[in-house]
Amino acid sequence: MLEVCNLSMGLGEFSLHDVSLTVEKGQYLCLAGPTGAGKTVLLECIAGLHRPDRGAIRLHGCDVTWLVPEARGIGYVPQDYALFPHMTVFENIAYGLREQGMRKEVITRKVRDAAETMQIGYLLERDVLHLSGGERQRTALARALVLDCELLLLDESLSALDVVTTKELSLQLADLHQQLGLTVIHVTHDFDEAFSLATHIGICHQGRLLQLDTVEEVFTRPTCRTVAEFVGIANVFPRLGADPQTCPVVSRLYQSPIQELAGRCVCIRPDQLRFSRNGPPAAGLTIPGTVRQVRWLGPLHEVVLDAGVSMVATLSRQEQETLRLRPGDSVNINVPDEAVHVLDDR
Amino acid sequence: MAEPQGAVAVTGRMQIDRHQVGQRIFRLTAAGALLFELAFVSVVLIALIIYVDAASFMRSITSPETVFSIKLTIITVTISTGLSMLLAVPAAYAMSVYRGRLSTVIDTLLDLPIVVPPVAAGLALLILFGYYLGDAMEAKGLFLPHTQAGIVVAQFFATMTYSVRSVKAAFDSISPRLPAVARTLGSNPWRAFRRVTLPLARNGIIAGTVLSWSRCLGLFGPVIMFCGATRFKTEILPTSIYLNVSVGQLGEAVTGTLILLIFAMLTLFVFKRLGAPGLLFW
Repeated sequence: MLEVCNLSMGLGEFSLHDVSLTVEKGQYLCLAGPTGAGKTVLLECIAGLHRPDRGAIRLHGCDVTWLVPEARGIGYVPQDYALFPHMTVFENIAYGLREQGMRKEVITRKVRDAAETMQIGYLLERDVLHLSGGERQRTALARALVLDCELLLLDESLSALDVVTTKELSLQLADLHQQLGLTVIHVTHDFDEAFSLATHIGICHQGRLLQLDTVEEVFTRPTCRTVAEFVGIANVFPRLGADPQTCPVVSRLYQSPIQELAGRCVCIRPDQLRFSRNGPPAAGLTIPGTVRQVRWLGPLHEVVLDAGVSMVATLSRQEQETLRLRPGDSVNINVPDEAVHVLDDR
Repeated sequence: MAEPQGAVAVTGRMQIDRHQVGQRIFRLTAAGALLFELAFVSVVLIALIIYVDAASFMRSITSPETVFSIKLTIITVTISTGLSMLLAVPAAYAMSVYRGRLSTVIDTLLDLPIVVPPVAAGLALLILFGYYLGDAMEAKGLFLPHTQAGIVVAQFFATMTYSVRSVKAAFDSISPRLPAVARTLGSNPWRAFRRVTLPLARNGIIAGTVLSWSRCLGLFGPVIMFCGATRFKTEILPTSIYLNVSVGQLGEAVTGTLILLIFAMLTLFVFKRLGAPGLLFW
């Protein structure tokens, strides 16, 4: 449906370098990454608000790189929602329909339907300046959706809301995506938000798209250190080849000669580490270590360990109830083969 | 050795007293300065008001010369303000949107009419439209120096910067995301400007109009230099006051001043109602 090919552009401090991506109809793609990664610039390029220096954007196979935004038919909800402050909720939602020259009765019907879908039917005559964050977000979504756009661009749309409203709206977005068969590109810097909503995730960093894949693939098989760090893998050991002395324990994880790891880094998933106080060693590598800290994170426990290098493991509540790990305890840390990944160090 | 509890309490109380005295002196100084300024403005205005009695005020205000100058003032000021605003809206929009290397140069050039002394501005206009373009324009039947059309030009020159500045402040306060989103909803650039940007800048534009109108109203230096002060020809209210003072008709001069004062107060009232008092303090 949407194809972005080798897109490059500079915009003040932000820039994009050779970004390419493909979004199929019905996908919910979350573009995630830290602030300043170029996610918003990419989204605005797709919406037609910036002209790229190089590259092409194709929508349904047609080149729209130089097409003006009003001719693209793409719904766009910016971070601050950009509701028109001199208009009521009704007038905001009706804005695009009026631009299409629709008849008044049709506009009224469509606006009411969109407002009901977004559960803001009771707000239609309200001034937008007196809306809560969630109501503003719903109004902005209704304004974009009322135009029956096939592609919806959301820029950090949930970031300014409180936890309860964010959860509520996440569910609603997921429902809308399924019910309307929408194709969505959603920019966020929130890892949890991305994982709860997306079918696919693209990780951006310093103007580059580092990895674009299904949620599971990005989570289980990150291609580089930055992606691994972004998806919350705490045990990343960079520059192993450059200085093996700093990571003697990790170097033992591999039988391969140390030179082969030059320019690469090792990553161990915290949820796949296993512990035993005594008993026979399990398959994979077993390293002795000491518990430094145990932190309760609700359904999980985070254990910080000293095994020659600092490592982090996560345990379920059940596992912790069995093991009863306390700071200062000596444990055997079992690293199964499938927990270890070698990644590009970038 | 520890101090007795009573002595500590006394020291603490003294410190509090000293703080309170300092605070009171500060507040009294600030309030005193404000009272002095209010009193000064009031006394000056009262002196002006009580100088003429009601009968002579009514006689002066209905005299043909005063009526002529009021009419000419209102007509020229309204035309020059209209022209000024007509150009200010697109010019201010261009300045607000354009953020290039030349924006500082453009900004400085546009501010020049504010910093140039009023008499010098009038002289510059006289040299341009009299010495350089005078003959050519006269040949086409459009001679500006010492004419009523010239008054409009002088007022326009002196006030256009204020118009552009106030409208630009209004455009600057509008998030560029709003017209951008309007574009994604189907508006072309002109429709986005007309339906989103312009209505949001409305208060700023009205405030700019009122401000420009009031500045034109009291404009004296450029007008007298460019158009002179000929009775029943180029006699607007400020030049009328000057003419009356120069021939010793103080009553008529004070009447003219009071009329300007009434206009100024009305303008201030409208301006404050629009909620843009900050714009007065450029």
